[in-house]
Amino acid sequence: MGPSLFDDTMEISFWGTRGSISTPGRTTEKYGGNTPCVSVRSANTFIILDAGTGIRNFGHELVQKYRNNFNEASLNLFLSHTHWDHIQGLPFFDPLYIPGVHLSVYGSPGKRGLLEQILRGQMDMDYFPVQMSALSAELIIREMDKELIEIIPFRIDWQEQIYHPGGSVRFGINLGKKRLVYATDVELNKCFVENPTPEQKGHQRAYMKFIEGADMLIADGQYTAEEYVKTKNYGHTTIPLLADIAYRCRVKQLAVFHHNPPHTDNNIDELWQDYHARFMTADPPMNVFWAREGQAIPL
Amino acid sequence: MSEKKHNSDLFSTTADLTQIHVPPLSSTSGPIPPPRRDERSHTLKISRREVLKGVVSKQRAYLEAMGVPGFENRVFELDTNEAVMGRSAECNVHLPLPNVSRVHARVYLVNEEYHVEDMNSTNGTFVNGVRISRCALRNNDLIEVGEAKMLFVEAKVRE
Ligand SMILES: [Zn+2]
Ligand SMILES: [Zn+2]
Repeated sequence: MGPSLFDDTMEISFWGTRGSISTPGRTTEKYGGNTPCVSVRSANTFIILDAGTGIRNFGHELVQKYRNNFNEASLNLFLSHTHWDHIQGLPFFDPLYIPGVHLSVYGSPGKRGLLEQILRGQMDMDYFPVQMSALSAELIIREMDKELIEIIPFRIDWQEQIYHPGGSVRFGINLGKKRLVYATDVELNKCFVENPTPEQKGHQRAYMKFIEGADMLIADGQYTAEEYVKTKNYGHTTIPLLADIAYRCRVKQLAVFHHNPPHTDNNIDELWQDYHARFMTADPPMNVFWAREGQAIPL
Repeated sequence: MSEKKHNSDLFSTTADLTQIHVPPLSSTSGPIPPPRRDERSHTLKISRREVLKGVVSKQRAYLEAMGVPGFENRVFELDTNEAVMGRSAECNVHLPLPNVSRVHARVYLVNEEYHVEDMNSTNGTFVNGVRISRCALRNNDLIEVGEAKMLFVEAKVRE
């Protein structure tokens, strides 16, 4: 799990970066085929963002690291929303089968008490052989109520995102003076329009304030502008719009995330070459890269 | 893949030689009669090597120094031992260059996959321009360790 980090450093690890559905195979092995899961660590405290299929490998690593000492680890899962690609890995998260493990799960209160039912539902006998009630670990499912959630040493703030079918939540993870923003599954193209209504303007301001000056922004950049012609209303943002807004908000590092399933490693390499060169030579520079499975970044 | 089709579940992966019992062919056509007690089955011996034809059997990887004065085209072959990069003479990838820490980063094998990990260096380790604490490596990744730029090259060879 890497060398010990300084107290005010968080380590961000990408376990799944693909959007919508997992895409195994030779053409996706560099950026990865697992669906969203990102862990943020400070010492033994983990903030886990989404539980797509990528959470499986994260679970293996946790089991290797903690084995019989899971009481040392604090595991906190924050769900952006409950679309399949963000919860499907949960039943394959090995620590759930270890007695004594506690996992706190946080999600939007917008589901009106349904969050637990949805998570339980995907482990219904018709879908999965082990029921949630049979898990050895203790799952504590909470719908977020407070604006700021404190999980020492992290402070987590969040906002609802309406530009996604069924809605989603974006999270700000703060440690010391560092701020990481995780804002996936949102169609900014439906908010940042040419002639915005007062409501859209309000949402624009809220978004920009949320990401302003972030040390890193992990964000939905699923489509190219060409692809968007056919994928409008699917709930995802185009890369040029995302990069433009992030730059205007002085984001330092932009990790493009929720990769479009048809995008091959070569496609993404080409996009990276284009955007990386363009924004690294800007003044001030912004480091744009495509998040990649198996990549851990100190912040 | 070889033209023979095998059901991989039939083979033990631990033993080199695997024995499979094959029922004898019936000499008559039509529905297969129930086996008779006195019929002896044939045993087929297949080596593990034969079964695993077409499976990656060799992995060659190396670090290639890029545009580093005094290190032009130096190649460090990687194996199952970890390769430690640093300014210290004890590092097996010895890089006496500016901004390289004494022990800077290491490249090591985990489950048939090379990873690079920063070893609390002063100036950080970068992969394709992104500062990392650890990263699974893919062919043509550029690792930056101080002034040293190392290209990770990997080839998987099928027999
Ligand atoms: Zn999604
Ligand atoms: Zn979604």
